[in-house]
Amino acid sequence: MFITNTEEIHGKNITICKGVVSGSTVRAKHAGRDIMASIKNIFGGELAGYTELLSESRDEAMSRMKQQAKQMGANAIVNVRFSTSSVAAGAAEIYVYGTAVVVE
Amino acid sequence: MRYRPSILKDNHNISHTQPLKEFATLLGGILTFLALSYIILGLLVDLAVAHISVAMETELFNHTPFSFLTIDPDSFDPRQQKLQQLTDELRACLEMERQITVHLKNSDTVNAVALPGGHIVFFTGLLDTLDSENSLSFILGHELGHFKNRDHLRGLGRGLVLMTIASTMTGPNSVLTKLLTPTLQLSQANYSQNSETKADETGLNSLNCYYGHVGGATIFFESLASQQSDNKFRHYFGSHPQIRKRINAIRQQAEKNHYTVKKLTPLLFSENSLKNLYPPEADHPP
Amino acid sequence: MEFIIFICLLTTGYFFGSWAEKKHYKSIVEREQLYLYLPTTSSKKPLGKLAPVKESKLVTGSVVVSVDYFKRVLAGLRSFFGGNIASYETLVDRARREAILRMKESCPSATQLINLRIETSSIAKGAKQQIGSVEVLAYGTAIYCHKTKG
Repeated sequence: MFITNTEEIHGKNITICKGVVSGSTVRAKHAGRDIMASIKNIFGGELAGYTELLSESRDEAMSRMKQQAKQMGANAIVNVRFSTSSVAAGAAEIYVYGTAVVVE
Repeated sequence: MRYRPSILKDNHNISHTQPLKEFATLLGGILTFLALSYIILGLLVDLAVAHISVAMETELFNHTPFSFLTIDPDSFDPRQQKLQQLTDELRACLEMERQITVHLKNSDTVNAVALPGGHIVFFTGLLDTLDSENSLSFILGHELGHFKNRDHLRGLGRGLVLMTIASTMTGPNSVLTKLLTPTLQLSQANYSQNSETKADETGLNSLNCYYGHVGGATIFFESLASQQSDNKFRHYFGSHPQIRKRINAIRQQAEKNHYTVKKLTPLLFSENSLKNLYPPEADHPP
Repeated sequence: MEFIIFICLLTTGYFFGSWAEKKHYKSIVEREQLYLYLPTTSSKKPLGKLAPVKESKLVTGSVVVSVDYFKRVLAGLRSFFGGNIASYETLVDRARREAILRMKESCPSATQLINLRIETSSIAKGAKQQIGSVEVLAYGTAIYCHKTKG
């Protein structure tokens, strides 16, 4: 599956547009990680636990979007955009959306 | 490029879980976790209690902001003097060196609580039900017993531990913390049956020492037992052993020590304090 | 007493919450079917060759949805152990699909809807950091064309 954040896939020809697909997740780390992060917050630096959480959430959102595109019969997603928000405290919320297309 | 839309049959963006099942699993997990940490930390607190000196306890609880332990200063009641005086005399009888302060709190709660830092909180709801000084002295002696056996630290120590875990893990305003807060309410401080029985023993001994007899020790409990259906007394039942059992235990103890029962001393507050409580203006309106 | 109130809120939240969610999903699926004819993309260029454009304008759709008490408690418990917070996933899913549908409903006669963007925020965070409601704003450009023979 081709995924880009450009209007088209270079070197490919988009034939059919299938519509908008999206993937979203809300994930949290266990309380132990939250405590570790708040301790780390005193010293500064990368919060490895939360970096991991964010990348896990992103991967899951992407795979959910891909599943949708696959079910629609598309083989590429163009114009992909990410958006984040915080609905729940201490949870990562990732939303990814794009246009599912068929390329040849 | 053509547009060929299609409808998705499945929803990939949600986790397909059974909410009730998930709730049960998570709740079970969290309760197990809390029970385990409560048991482990409880044991640690028990070990630590033996090493906390009275001076250290006073320092810890009287000079740090344990907000829920603060006593309402507005609740000053002139009857407090009498309570303090009785406590001091009972304390001398029990040869307890540490200073104990009695606070009378305006509340319908029928209870008295021993708090860390050497405080007894006596609720007016309990005081109003007493009709002899002996009964009052027994209850004060009982609370002194808790101090002597250091139950007051144990009772709050574990609750404190539980609250600390809950609030660090999920934040001070989380659902979990709110769920646990009522367990720390002062009027419901909880002691085991064993420590209650021991405290009763101390109360009985102090009563015999001060009055020379143990009359009035069980009067309060007997009146409680006859009013068992009354909702007001639930707090006391919730945290104290079965009332009948307790009365029997006190009687057995008295028999064993050959304590006698004599005439009761009526519960009289000094003229001065009564004047403060019921100002004369109220009796003779201008 | 507090415990009884808590249990009451929990059961009420569960029954009303799942009833409302089921109803909402049903309506979302029906309306999605209804507006399937409207080509929607997230790309800047319109699809295919367009007839002369009559008008193109910004269209928006927004919604604020809250989660029920039961799901809020469930999310609180879940965040203790970590993992997917399923009860919030349905919330944000419903909110986004609803926002997109409202946007489409505001321009039913458009030829195409392009450059779709979706923004999420959580507004109802009061003094006590109370969580559980999500605001979604969907916006894009609706293109209206002159009718052609095709």
